[in-house]
Amino acid sequence: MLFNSAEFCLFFFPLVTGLYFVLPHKWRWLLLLGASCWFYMAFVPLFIAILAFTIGVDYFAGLAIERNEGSRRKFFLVASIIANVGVLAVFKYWDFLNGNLTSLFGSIGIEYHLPKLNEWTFFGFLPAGMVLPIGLSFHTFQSLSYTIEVYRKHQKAEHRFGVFALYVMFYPQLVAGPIERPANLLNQLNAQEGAGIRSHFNYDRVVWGLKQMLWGFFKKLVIADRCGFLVDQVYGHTGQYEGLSLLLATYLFAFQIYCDFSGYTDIALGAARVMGFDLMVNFRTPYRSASISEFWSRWHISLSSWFRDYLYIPLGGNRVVKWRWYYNLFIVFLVSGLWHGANWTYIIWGSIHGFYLILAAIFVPYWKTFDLATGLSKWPRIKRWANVLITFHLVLLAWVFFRANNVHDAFLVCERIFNTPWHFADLFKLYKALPTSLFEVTIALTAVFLLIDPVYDAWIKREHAWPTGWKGMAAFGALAVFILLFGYFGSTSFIYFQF
Amino acid sequence: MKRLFTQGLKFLGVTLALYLLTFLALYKISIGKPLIYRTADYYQWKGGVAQAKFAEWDPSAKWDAVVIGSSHAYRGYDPRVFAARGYRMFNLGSTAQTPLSTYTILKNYVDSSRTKLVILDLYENTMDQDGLESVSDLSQNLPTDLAAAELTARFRDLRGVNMFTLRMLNKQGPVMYKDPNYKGNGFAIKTDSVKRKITYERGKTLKLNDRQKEYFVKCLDLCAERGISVVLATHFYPHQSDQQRHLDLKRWVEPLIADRGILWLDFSYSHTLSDTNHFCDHNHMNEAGSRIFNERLLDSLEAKGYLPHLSRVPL
Repeated sequence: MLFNSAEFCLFFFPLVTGLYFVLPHKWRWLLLLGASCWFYMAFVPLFIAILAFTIGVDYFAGLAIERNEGSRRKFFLVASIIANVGVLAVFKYWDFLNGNLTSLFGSIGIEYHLPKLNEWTFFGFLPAGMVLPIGLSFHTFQSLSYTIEVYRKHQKAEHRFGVFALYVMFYPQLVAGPIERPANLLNQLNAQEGAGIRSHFNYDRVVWGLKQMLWGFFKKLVIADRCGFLVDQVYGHTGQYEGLSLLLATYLFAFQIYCDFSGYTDIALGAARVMGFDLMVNFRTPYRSASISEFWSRWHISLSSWFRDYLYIPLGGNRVVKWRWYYNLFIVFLVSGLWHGANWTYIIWGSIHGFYLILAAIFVPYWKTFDLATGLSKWPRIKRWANVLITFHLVLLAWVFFRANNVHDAFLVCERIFNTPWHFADLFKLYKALPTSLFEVTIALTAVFLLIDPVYDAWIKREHAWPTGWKGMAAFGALAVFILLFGYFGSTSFIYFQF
Repeated sequence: MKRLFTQGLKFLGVTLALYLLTFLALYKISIGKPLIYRTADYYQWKGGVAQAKFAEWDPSAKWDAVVIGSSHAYRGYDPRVFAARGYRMFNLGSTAQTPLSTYTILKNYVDSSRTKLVILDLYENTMDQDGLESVSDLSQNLPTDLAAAELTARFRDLRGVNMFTLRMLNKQGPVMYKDPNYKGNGFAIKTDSVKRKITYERGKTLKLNDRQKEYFVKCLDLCAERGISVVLATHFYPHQSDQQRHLDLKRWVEPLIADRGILWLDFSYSHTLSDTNHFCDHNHMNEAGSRIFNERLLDSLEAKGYLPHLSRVPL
């Protein structure tokens, strides 16, 4: 079920939230579990079997790890990792691996053929035509973080199967995160089930949650989906457009993906907050980062911290010799790229970010000299904004690979942006190819968003107090008016659902 | 909870006031045209074929047949050919009309005491869409506010609210444009033939929209409830167009109408017309094609007993 569907807004959310407050505390977990199943099964019902498999394996693995010591603990952890990564390998990476092997063997004259995933029927149990289950990477990583935390003895194993299943399936963050950790979400679910520390209706929390949802809907419907229409037109026909249109589409894609993903996150956090749950913050105005490493501490925080805790640090982090540190950085971002999708474009996107970080690490000693030589150290604000601009454009270059349909298209986009003259006639061609006024309205709305994002983001995160009384109502009422007048209502899916 | 309710109501009030003020401002300020028309592509002008036909529609008049459907209907079924055989026919077809809109029109404007037969034009391209284009046209041009409100509400989309607001602002205003091809009794036709080579899209599978399926059945049920005979009809298609989509529609429709004993006069590909001389574009007939089609349609309706054989009047 999509957050931006009438079914969710008018039926599912009010019903589930209403029942949640009406039901006795001890039954709430069951309501949320049932609602989460309903939410997930609204996409493709059969995929819940995959989720059930992951939940079953990790539930029993958690118990076994807790009950055993020494190498047996490790055995159950490894079994859990193999099962989870195996599910990902089959459903997400099989076709990619298979396709590449077919090409590789074909190039040396060996005929090789294994069926594609959509040709599998699992001995007749599943219908042919399988597609990637929605949000697979998200709930697999969330479930995996539980067994790792139990293994590290940071978390007690959850004995109630239903509560553990709810931890993996909690509907607000089931399909696109934030990728929660047991220390946060599982403990809140236990608290709910017990004395219920946040189990009473709290007006402030409900209003806070609803405002956050409204801000999320604004980002998704007014900015992301509008930008998406223009971006799709250009990236769907890369050969037809020249530098200026491709550049504009790439800028707009940066805002599309940010508003799409952070919009989803705000709706998820808001929906959970209304019921009294605090989910992880996933974005902190990432395009205001002054370096790539800062960008990764502000963008998709739940994933970058997952990789930091479960891959980068176990690899040795930065407490190793230099070449090994660079290797660790590169591996983490390579895997991060692969996590996003089974496509070379994502792998290159991840590698570019890994490369940026390695370059930054190599050149750290020279930055101070550069600042002194240019006099930038005397102007910290100018220096900061210059760095923000440079970082944003580095991120933008990497987005080309993330968005392009294939590697060839991505290089074509880069080549045309940098190597062809920029003509306004090219922009006019794009203008004519779009529905009436979409071009100028999209650009105007994106500009409005750039102005208001820091303000609303600070209000939503409660870094600044939001206006109260009539002013507050007008401030958030204006968001609703923008959604009504400028929203793009096609119930388009969220980009990160495919991961 | 009480506080949430009262504050929620206040919030709704403030939002509504802001919405109306903003809408009014965008409506009043013009750059070439009112700004509101520049904010989205679903705002339609008041006027055109739909406006003309509903202005002409006399609710008290009696009709031997009413034709309803998309542009295939209002550009294909000629009341003049019906009149030549002595039948009174009115065409209630409108641009991209989907079953969702058809249902609203039938419910509000067609009853058994004045209409004996409804000829519902069936065209697959109206069955795989949400109906936005039709709702945006009819929301501006239906003669009664109630029917327009009903249609926009039935559309279940926030864009419907904007369309209805625009209707209310346009209400006292003049008709903004007229279709020169409009011939009266709801019919509009072009005389041009196809001059340039047309590339027909192929391989696009027909995914029937669930709500359109639901409303198609509702249309049939409504006519049955009101005691109005229904005949489904499909006019000639160019031979080069994609036949697969039509077959997909057939696969769904045929079992449905077989249960109800409804006749479908499907002329889509059973004709010898030229794809260029008898059509004005990729799927609409011109006047010459339409005349041949109407004669065949009337022959079939008379042969099947849906219309009595009346004396022919020369055109």
